Amino acid sequence: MSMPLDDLAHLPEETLLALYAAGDRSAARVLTLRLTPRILGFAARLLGDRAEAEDVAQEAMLRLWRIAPDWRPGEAQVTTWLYRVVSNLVTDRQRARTRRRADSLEDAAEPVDESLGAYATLLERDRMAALDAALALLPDRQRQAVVLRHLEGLSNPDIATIMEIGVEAVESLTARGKRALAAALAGQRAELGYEDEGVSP
Amino acid sequence: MTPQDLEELFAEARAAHSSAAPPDLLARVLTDAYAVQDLQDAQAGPAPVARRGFGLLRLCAGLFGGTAGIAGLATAMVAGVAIGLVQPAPVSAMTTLLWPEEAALDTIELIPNFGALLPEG
Repeated sequence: MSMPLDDLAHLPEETLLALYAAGDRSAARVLTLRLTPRILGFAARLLGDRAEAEDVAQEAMLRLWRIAPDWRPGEAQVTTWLYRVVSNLVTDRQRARTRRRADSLEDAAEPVDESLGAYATLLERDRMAALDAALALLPDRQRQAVVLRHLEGLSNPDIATIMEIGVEAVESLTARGKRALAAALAGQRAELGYEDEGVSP
Repeated sequence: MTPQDLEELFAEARAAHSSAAPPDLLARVLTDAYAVQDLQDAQAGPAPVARRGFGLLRLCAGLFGGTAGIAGLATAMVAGVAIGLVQPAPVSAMTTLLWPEEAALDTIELIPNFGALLPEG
């Protein structure tokens, strides 16, 4: 049983998920095309590693397929649920990285350089690389909040649900994250092409 | 970097970010989707068909707590018959203790011998 893709393109995710659970192959295609790029970008921003982000995106989508028959309409938004799954998967991987780093004597002897010089070469390439590099310097929770708010365009209440914290905490994390980003990129303003624009009144 | 610069950078990132995922990733995700769908269809299976026959057996099983109840009753029955036939020593000793042979009940003839009545007839 499959509906034409054009008929499904404008349906909300929750409806598509119900159709998928009922055996509709087209709904699977629409959900895959609609959701995978979003969560891939989110995971890549948090992890800073494209291959690892692809694994996370695939795993998150797999969990979505598995939960489809038990999905309770109206309880949560599909996208919010997915972002939350991605956040948890990313957190697991970041913890594993930290453990590996702690276990490695080489890494322990050579701590992560958080100075601007560590990503100076990236800053010279383009603004996106500079932003990614600056994001990588933020603490995990700040980075997650900033990415969800300013790059994924989610509302603060949605972010609070995803991160399982209060709205005030989200506001605090995003504000501190933005200040840290601005500070990290301040020294590269000219290289990023901002020298003649964006002057504060 | 000013807040305005940062907002501009975010806007550029949002636009760049909306690029499509790699085709091989989309293919893997879709393969997973179909596999899970097929598995769930297989697990759901065809609608169960009502079994015919064994109506009395199923009724009894229902009365005695299902198949397990019937099995328990059958086991107890077999054990009882076996004990009665074999009469293990402990059971015989207990029986003798409770009902010694001296205390055996006398038989009382409640119906007179029918043959004795015939000559009078």
